[in-house]
Amino acid sequence: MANGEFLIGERLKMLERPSLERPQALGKLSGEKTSDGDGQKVSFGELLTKSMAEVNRAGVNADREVNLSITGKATNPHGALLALQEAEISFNLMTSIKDRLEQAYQQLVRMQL
Amino acid sequence: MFRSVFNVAASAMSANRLRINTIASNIANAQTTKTAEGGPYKRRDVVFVAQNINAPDTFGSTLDRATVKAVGAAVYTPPQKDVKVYDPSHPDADPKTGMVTLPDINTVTEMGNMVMASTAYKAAAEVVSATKEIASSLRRLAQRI
Repeated sequence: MANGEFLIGERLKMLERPSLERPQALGKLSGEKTSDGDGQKVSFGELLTKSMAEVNRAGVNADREVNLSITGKATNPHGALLALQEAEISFNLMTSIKDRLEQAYQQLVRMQL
Repeated sequence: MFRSVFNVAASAMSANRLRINTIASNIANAQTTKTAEGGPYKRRDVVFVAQNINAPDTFGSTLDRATVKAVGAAVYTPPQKDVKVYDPSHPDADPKTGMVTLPDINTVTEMGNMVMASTAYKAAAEVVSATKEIASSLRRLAQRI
């Protein structure tokens, strides 16, 4: 993963510095710039926030479609089901990504200096 | 990221549902001689049109919007000839000639179209299932160290 690469780069730079600077370097990690699909520079935190906003929107949409279905106002029988599936898939993928990031961070923190 | 696939599959399901509704209307009104507009019932059909999916305006969806098309369905009345049957005792018979005009609907043809439409609906549902399996295989990939 791309974020794993820049984390490792930062870690290697930290090896050269005295350990007093370590909190500062860790703080720099969240502000480090990476680029998303269209080449613009966004920070990793912004990427995560955007992805989570999309997942949240999928969940809200699913909720709305289920309400329409239950109150009988929906014209499509498949609207609620598809919205639920989409929300479930998005959320599961986001959870998997979150788990991987956590594991990567744990591995890095456990590295002996 | 799977939103385009779900949009397209949902549009396919909606279009085929509209087609099945139209076929049901045709089958139910196969012998209808009087409608609100005056004449006999006219057979209705649907036409499918390729549409652009409504995806959010991000870079990832630009490729999707250019290559992947959803489908829209519209009901129309094809040009047709009515069937005339001689029956002077019918309340809707023409008073001079005694002919009753019936719609030109072949129930067997309509049921064949209905099988096609329901197969297309099920195929769209299978597309959604396949997408779910892809997503779950991604999850398994992410879980292994």
